[in-house]
Amino acid sequence: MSAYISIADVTKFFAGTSGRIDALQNVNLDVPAGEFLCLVGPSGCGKSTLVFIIAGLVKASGGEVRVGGEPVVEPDPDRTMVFQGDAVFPWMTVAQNIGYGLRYSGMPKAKQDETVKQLIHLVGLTGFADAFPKELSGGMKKRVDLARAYATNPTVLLMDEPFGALDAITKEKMQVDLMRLSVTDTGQRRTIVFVTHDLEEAIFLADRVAVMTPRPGSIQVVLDVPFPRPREASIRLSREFQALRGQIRGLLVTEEEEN
Amino acid sequence: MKQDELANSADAAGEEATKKRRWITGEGAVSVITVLILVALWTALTDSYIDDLYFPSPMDTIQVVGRMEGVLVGYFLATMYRVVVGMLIGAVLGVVCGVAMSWNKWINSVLDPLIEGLRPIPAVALIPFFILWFGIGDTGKLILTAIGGFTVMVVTTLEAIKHVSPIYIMAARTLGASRLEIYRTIILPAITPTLIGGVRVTVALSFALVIASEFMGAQSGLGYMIMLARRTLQTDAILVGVIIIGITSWIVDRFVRIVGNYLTRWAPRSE
Repeated sequence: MSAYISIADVTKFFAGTSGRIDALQNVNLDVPAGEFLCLVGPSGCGKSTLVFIIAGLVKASGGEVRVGGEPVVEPDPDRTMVFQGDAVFPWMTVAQNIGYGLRYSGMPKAKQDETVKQLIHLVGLTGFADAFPKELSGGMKKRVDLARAYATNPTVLLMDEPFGALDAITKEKMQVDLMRLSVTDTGQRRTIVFVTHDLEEAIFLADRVAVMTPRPGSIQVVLDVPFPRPREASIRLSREFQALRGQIRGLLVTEEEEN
Repeated sequence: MKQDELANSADAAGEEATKKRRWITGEGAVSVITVLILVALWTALTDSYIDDLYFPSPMDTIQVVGRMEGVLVGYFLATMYRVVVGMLIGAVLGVVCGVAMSWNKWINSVLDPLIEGLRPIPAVALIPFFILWFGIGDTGKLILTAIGGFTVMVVTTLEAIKHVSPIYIMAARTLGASRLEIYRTIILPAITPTLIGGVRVTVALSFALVIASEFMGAQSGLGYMIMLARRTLQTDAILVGVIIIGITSWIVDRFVRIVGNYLTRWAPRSE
C-alpha cells in the first residue's frame, strides 16, 4: 500500500518559559489512503500537536508531512478537523455552521443548500437547521461539528479527541455514526487520523493503532486491528478485543514506568 | 432527563403566558411603588424643610417645563445632535482602528503609542484647548465627544479580539476561510457582545462630555441651559435639565441594549 499521509522525521519544539520543550522527536508514520488510524499515547506526548501539524495549523520544527504527495504548508479544506473543544460557531445556525466550508468551495448556492440539507439529515439533526448552537446538547453540537468537517468532502479527516467530552452512551452512538459516515461522495473511504486516550475507542474504530512514547513523542509501535467491518458494539466484549486492549495498555504503562 | 426537560419547558411556557396576561409583574409593581414613595418624600420635604432656592418642589419643576417649552426643545436637540453624532464618529473610528491594529502589526506600531498617550488624559481636560481652537460651536464638541468614544471603543475592540477563542479561528482556517473572511465571519461576530458593552460605556461618557463642554462654552444645549440657570439661581430649571439628560441617557442606553440583544441573540445568557 502506498502512503497517502507520509510523516517523515517530524520534530517539534516550543520555546517555553523554562527553556525549550521538545514535543515531538523524529516521528515517522505512513498512513495509506482510506485507512482509519488511531493515535494513542500518554498525556502530553504530542499526539494532538502531530494532528495539528498534519492539518497545517502548526508548523513542524523539522521534518516533513506530505499528503497525497504534496507537502503540507497551510490548512486546506481537503483536510478538515474536528477539535476536542466545542468549535461550533455559536453565532451561526446549524445550517450555516455545516455549510461554512462550502462558501469557499465555489459550489453553486443551490447545491450548497442541498448538501447541507442532506448532511443535517445524515447526522440526525433534521428540524434543527435554523437553531443556534446554544439550543443544542453537547452531543448534538459534536454532530454539527462532524457534519461541517464532512461538508467539504475532504479526503483526510483529522480528529483530536472529538468525543472526549461526551458521556459514554452518546460517545458510542457517535462512534457508530462516524464509521457510517467515513466514506466520501464517490464511495471511497476517507483517510482518518483520530487522536484518543480511550483505548476501547481506538480499537473499535481503527484499522491500525499507533502507540506513541511519552514526551518527546515518537511512534513506539503500530498495531493492526484485525476485526472485520462493519463492527458491532458487542465486539468490545470479545476476548481478542480485550487482549489487544491489554497489550496496548501494557505498552503505555511500561513506557510511563521507565520515565 | 428528557421528560424533565419537557416539563421544564412546559412550565416556562406557562409562566410566559401569565406574564403576558398581567399588565405588570410583581417586581415591576415594587419599582413603581419605590418611585412613588420618592416623589412623595420629595414633595413633603420641599414643602417643609428645604428652601426652594436650594431644591425646587415637583410642582415648580413641572411648571418650569411649561414656561420654557420653546427653548427647551431647541436646547435638547442641540445636545442630542452633539451626543449622537460625536459618539457615532468616535465609536466607528474606534472599532475600525482596533480591527486594523489587530490585522496589521505595522498599523499597530503606529497607532498604539498615540492611543496609549491619549488614553490616560481625561477628555474633559482638553475642553479649554478645544474652545481656543474651535470656538464654542459644534465642531469642538463633536471632536471631543468623538475622542472620548474612540478611546473607549479602540481599547474594547483590541481586548475583545485578543480574547476570541483560537479554536474558532483554527476551525475556519481548516475549512478554507481566508484571513479577510475570518475577520468578517468569525472575529466580528465573536467580539460583538463585548463591543455592545463598550458602546454602553460610550453612551454615558458622551453625555458627560457634551454637557461638560456646554458648561464651559456654548450658546445652546442643556448644559448651557443649566449654567445659565445656575447664574440666576433658577434651581427648577437646573433640575429640569438634569432630569431630561437622565431620561434621554436612559432611553439611548435602552435602545443600545435592545439592538445589542438582537445582534447577539445567538449568545447564551444567564437570566
